[in-house]
Amino acid sequence: MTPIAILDVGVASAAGIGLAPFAACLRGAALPAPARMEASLSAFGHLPTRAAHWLSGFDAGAHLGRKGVANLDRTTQLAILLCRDLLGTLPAHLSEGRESTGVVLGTSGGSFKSIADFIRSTYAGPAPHMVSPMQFPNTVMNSAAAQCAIWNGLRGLNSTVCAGDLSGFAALQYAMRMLRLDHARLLLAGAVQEYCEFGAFAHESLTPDPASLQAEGGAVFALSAAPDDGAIGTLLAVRLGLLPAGSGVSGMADAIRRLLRDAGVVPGEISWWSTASKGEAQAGAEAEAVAYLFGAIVTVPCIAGRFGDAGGASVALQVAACLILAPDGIGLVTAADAGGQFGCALLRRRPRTVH
Amino acid sequence: MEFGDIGTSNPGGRRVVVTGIGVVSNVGIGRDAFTQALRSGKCVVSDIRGFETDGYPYAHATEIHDLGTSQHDYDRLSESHGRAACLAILAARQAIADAGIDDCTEAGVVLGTTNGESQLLDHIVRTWMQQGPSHIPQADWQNAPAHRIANAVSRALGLRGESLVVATACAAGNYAIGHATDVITAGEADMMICGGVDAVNRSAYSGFFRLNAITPDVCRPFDAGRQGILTGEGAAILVLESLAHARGRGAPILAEILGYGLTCDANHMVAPHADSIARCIRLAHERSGVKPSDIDLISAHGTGTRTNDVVEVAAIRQVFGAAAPPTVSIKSMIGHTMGAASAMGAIACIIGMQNDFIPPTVNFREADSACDIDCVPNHARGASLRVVENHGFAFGGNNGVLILRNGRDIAELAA
Repeated sequence: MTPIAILDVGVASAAGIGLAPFAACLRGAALPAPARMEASLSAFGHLPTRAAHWLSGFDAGAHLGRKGVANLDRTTQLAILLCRDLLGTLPAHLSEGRESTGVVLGTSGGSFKSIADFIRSTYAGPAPHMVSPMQFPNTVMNSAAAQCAIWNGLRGLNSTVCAGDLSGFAALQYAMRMLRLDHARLLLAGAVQEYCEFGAFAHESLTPDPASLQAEGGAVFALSAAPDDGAIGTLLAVRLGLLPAGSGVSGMADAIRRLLRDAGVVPGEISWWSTASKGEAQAGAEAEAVAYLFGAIVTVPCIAGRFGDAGGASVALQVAACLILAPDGIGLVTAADAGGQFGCALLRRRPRTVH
Repeated sequence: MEFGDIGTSNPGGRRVVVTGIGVVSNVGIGRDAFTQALRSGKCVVSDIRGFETDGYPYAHATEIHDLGTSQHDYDRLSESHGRAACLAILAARQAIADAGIDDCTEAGVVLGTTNGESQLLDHIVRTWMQQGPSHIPQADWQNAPAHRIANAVSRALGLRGESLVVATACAAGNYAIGHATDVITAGEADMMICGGVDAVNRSAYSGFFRLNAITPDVCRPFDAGRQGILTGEGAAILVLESLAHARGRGAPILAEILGYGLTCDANHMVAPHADSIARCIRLAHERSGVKPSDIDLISAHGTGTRTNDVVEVAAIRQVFGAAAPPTVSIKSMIGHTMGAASAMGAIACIIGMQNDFIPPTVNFREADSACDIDCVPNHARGASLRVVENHGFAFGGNNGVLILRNGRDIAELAA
């Protein structure tokens, strides 16, 4: 199948906005200390007990201009910014043709802050329909991708896909197919996750280890089916699905074998591996499957340990990290969640010294 | 063969057909009941039971109140799943049975939704407000993300393929069907389960109410007196297979998916855009290898709001000129089922093609010169339908247009 060129990547992370601070922190620079949620971010008045690796100083207006920004949630603000900056890095011949340029965003469920605050406003106001008409569109899960299109004039296909913590794989797989079948010429595909009360309390409930901190951020990739000399990498294949119940390591190994077959790659070509799984059990099973299939290969460390758990954006951020840290050659990114989803992607990092 | 050249725009790809349908709606559960409802123009509007309605000036919807023989299954499923997942599983089981499938373990699932597990999200927020966040059960947090709906369908049917939710709001059904088609076209699967689902919920009702988009009346698409939508709910699921796979097992071929087009307005979050919709229709035609004159029926997005119907008809006129085909809105019967809406539309198209009738636009009283179209008012019309067009548009300017061909013509081509 046609490989997909990764033309460039944009990142927002606890290190700040942009690829450079992310790369610097990956290579050892100090990361800003995790911070507690500010009361201004809370509509319910319950502040999470844990700190988080969130972009506490992020000022969307400073980046995007004040007009219209205040009504957007953080998911949308970050997504717009990532898409805009990414388009700005591409040579003109790649970024023109806005009717065939589109956006594919992965999300675990849209802006949970917008959704939860809006539902709350139906109970907290004088009447259930006395809600903000400006906030209503933010509650729909495609709002961030749609605003990326509006702010950047992208009239090609615009899609939003959901696979929980594995949403990054969903976006890459969806985009890859759409490019191969000529639904678009250029796609900005990735995932973004905001820090909010809803997500923080879900995280505290589902990840009881108090050392596990949430992260805010995302990564968006510029993808094209046409080969390009300036590409920073190549996406060869993506698989995402549910493991057969109880299949564990063998189910993962089976999915990875199929992934290699999709790309026409043999095990001996795989030189590195990386996981985005937050669960130790999942990451351990993935490591076992990888060792069984490939023996001892380079492991690119999971960034969640340092940068925090970015939920729906974790896979996209891990892939971005691999494009910076991985050795040259073909490698494998995997992730699994507690619900039995397993995803894997094959990519080749192109030698490049820019970052 | 008069239509022999249709669908040849992608000769290298595998052809994709529909072999089973399942539907859970407020006018009928299952293919036969839904067919009967579409033929008779059944419309059911009732007081909302799904959420607390004190304080609204009026609170009615096209909500599902009678699950018939599926009620027992629903009750059992609802012990561990949200309402959207339950409705989707019921419709998916119907679709598998309709397709006469014994083994579909390799099939994938792609479902569209607007609000996901919206009633569960509402429940979480209420518990939070009344008791605090520590009282929210882990299972509620686990089931809140939208992908759990597709995962629930995959698990309930014992499927090992991919399991994805597409969240492109009210066009999500068409996006999901389109993507499932692509997966088969690309040779990545032989069979896919796809469609859309949503549940009536307080958040969407309040939001649309605030936008003055909820009719105090019934839903009257294209009518001069139209006053808006009724929020609805349900699940509409299709089984797709490669043509070769379907033929190999002797499956009934209900329809062929000829192709689809997607565009984004990149203009406004809630106001539709005629030029962008027209571009989407043209793109769908081009990708399907059809001309406007090939289209026998349009199943419109047809929400029944002042704005949508005028903009949609303008877009249709841009592409079809004076010779636009009959253009109907089944939302007049089942309301706006959100992420399920365009999947419901696709199923209505298939039922119409299979049974030689055009479902009506009911509740129609008076023509509006601003949206002058043959909407097949009030009564179903007998018609031989060969190629049909199914619209789905959404907040955020996410447009999706799907083109289907009558399965009988596939059978003829095969002979």
